[in-house]
Amino acid sequence: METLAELTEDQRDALQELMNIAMGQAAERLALLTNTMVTLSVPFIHPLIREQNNLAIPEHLRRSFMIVTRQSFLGELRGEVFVCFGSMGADELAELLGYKGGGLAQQDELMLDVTNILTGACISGLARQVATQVSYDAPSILVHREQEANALDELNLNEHLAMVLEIRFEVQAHQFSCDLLICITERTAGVVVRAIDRLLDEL
Amino acid sequence: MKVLIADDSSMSRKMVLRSLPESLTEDVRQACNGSEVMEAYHAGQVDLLFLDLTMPVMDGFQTLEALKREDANVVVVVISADIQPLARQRVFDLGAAAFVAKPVTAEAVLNALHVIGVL
Repeated sequence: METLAELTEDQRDALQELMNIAMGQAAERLALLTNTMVTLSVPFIHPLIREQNNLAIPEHLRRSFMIVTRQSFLGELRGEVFVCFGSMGADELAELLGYKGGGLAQQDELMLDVTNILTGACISGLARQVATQVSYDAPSILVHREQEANALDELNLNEHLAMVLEIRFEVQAHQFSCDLLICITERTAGVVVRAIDRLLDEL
Repeated sequence: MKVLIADDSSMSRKMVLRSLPESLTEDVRQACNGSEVMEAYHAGQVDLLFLDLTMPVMDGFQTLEALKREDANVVVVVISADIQPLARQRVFDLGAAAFVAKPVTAEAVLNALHVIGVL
């Protein structure tokens, strides 16, 4: 059975490196957008059990985020990306981009734009490395600062998850940070595993 | 020449190793983070360093800062997925001789080594 939950140490290391390269491309986009330098974390991989089809948001994110957006990707590689923005995220980002006096609607639009940019760069970067193509649904806001964060507890994904990859982006010298949770469905995880095995065989 | 490849990913270290010309493969060591790099440096085991930026414990920027503080006589080639223009500028400001973007290729490594005069 090809599930990401059963990765060997070498496969896990390779997946982490593929994500590292993909997030580097996303950071470059965010850096260009904000005209500053983005600090990257080492990507963290959460393997999930086969039957699990709800998203377990890590506790450290659950305590800090205020806005969560989501965007689906489709194709041979399928899943969803959730972007968790911190309490200062919207205000800091608006300031970085020179938006002044914008209302909540403008801030929401900004969050969705950033979601689109980070998701597109990360997932396209991963897809390119595993030799496949993906398309994207439009991003949407899942949890708003005015809502209860427990809306996430009721979140039920349509397909079984195999893996969540957690990545943090921080903008240096500002309080802006966001966390990406990349969920890959169990049904399409084999695309990633087979690509990783090919890479490892070549070494 | 004593070569050290520093990256937290074993796959990435293998890819760099595979990209090296034969003349540089006689004395090659590996490190998983900047702390191990500094240990190797203090043991006199590093002339040429291939350095990743995103590593746990002590990242590539911190490693470059530590080497700079010690005025280390080490040629550093940064190999990283962090391709932001400001990140590149920062590594050069901290004393790196070359920058190669991941995913690494033998061609890019050879080119960098020629440009900085190692080959």
